Amino acid sequence: HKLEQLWGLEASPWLSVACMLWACPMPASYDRACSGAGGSGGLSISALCCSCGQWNSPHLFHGYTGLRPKGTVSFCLPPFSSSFRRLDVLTLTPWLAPIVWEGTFNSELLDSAYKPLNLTIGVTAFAIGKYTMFVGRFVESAEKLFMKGYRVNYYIFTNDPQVIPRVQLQPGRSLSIVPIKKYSHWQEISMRRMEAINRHIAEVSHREVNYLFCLDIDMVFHNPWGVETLGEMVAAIHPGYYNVPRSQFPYERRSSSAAFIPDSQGDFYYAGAVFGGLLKQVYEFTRACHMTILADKANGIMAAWQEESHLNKRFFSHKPSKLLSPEYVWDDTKPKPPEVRLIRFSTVNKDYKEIRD
Amino acid sequence: MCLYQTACLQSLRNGKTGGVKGYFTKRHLYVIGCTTLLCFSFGYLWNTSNGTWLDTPIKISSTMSSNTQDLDDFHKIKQPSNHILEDLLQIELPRMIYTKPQILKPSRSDVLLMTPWFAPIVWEGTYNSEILNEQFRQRNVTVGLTVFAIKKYVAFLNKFLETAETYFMVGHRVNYYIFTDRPEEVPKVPLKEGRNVVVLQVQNYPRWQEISMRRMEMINSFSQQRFINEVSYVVCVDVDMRFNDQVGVEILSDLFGTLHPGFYAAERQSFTYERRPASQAYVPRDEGDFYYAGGFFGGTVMEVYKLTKKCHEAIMMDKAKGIEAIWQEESHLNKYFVYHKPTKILSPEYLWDDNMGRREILKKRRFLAVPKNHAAIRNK
Repeated sequence: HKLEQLWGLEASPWLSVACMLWACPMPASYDRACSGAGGSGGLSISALCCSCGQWNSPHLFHGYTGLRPKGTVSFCLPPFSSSFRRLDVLTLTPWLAPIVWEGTFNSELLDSAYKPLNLTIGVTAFAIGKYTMFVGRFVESAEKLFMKGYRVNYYIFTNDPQVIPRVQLQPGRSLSIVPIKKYSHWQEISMRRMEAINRHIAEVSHREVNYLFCLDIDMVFHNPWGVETLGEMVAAIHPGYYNVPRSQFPYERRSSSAAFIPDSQGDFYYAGAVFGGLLKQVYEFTRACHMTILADKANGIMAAWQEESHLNKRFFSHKPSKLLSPEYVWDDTKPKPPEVRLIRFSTVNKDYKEIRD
Repeated sequence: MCLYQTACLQSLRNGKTGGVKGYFTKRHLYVIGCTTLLCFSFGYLWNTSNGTWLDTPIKISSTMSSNTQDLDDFHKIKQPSNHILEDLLQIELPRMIYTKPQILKPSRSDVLLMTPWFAPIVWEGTYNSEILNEQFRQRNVTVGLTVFAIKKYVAFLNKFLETAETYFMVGHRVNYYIFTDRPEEVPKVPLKEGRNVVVLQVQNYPRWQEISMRRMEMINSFSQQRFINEVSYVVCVDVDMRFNDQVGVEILSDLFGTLHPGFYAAERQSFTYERRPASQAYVPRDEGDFYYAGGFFGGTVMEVYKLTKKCHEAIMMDKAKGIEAIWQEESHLNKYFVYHKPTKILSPEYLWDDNMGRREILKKRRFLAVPKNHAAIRNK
């Protein structure tokens, strides 16, 4: 009888969407604990229904609140016992910033809000010296998995534009090569990234993109990386330190450094390989990090993990508005723990001695 | 401070090569003591001078004060919401000691903490007041609290304001906006520093349903006239309530609603949405995320302006058709939230009625209904 009741309400769009849903089961998102508690944990019709009209959400658009998305997709969700729930991990920081894990968000819902905004997302990556060999795999995997369906601009910073491979790109996506100077030491190369990104935003990317992600090049996408990652200022949790006490975080511990964080402080250890956000925020962030790096230089000190230490200091004093779980920055040499259901972006195995300096 | 001492002591000790015994003569101890004292005072001076500062000036008042009364101009204003959030990110926090959040230990496992569109659901234990207070305090945010005391409802004001003084946005600047038809009956409640009462005279209506629904129109009109120039956030609540526990900056967001205490565990088909398609507030049985309470919602001035405008227009359209939504403006509010998802949701801790008893999941009951005699109070 429920079906008959629902048939009356614009049957065809509802039915087609419902068929779509039945065809793609989401076993991982269903919360086993909920189904016992009498919530709508099972595949009930009411849980899967969806034909909400257009909608928008103020903050979701980080400044584009005037717009109303067109289109009719929006997925409603069952109330309290949501199918989008994780009980095994922290999904909110103490300052109420979301932590993005598989199973905490509804991609279709988010896409329906973001797609109509016609955003362009930028990606910076540094391929200096022998690191140019990683560009091909990085861009190829990004073409399949990074912000699919959105406009993307890759900015590859390199000292050797000739060797950058020409990768076939999807429509709406472009790649530009940004020539930069090669420093003699890999640590210097690493730390100068902040300055280079900052300068590039001021000169070029502010005209071209709305959001910017700054990623390491020696990595590959393995699973989708979508608009769930968009935020005002986004940091990623380092895969090696998410389960250790803060005294073991490899923060810079010398008080003479501008990146100093004492033993008793710190929320998370963030990875230097992934950060991003609204262009304006990334500009401010890279400026601040570069300033502290220069301050250390003037004092003849180099932080323990180069710009990653400075990034951590900055994120400690200016908390990010969204965090990405280690799914978004993984180390392939580590075995996959149960809490990491998907590995979306991770390192490529390499011989450090061979490629540095 | 003790870290400085230790650092100083350590740097001193590193200079020594031998063991402790026999090496630390009285003279050595005297030197160490003086140096420690020096380090201590240096550290203290360094900390106080190197305090926090705001990188960006607060943009809201400067852009808004040049605004005219014209509706079109109001629409063209740069959205305050993104400015607020951007300002938030420039805040540099001072030194704070608190337990580190644990990745493999969610703060609460008995309740939903976040919606699939990343809106946090605020429960006790999920947030750190110190961090949030510091972020908002540095921006010198002013919060407006609107409350309607029409006809006999003025009787609730005393308790409401007294308890608000104890629990609402303590330490921050607050403007209470009392909408009333009886301004002379508004009690003079002693207020803490940085807090003001603004009495706004409005007309009353014969029916309580009408009074309830006209709140949307009145909040909308004053958002444009006053709130935009005076506050960053507007919080709209019922008056027949009292604060019983902390209601602070953890609630503030671009657009927030509160879970109705009667429906937080219900299925969407049992939500008391307006179900007649003829009404503007109609929500089909297969739609809707939550049932929100009409007695506690808010957000930035701009978002509250948009919400109240939409709701008021919908109410008027219904009126023209001779239809009144089942739960008056609450029905329209719920309709709005289906298609304009809130960026934060408050748990039933923020709107409770003790007549419903206690719940395991409610660790705090922050804002409670005051018992009232409906027949005596309404329509009088």
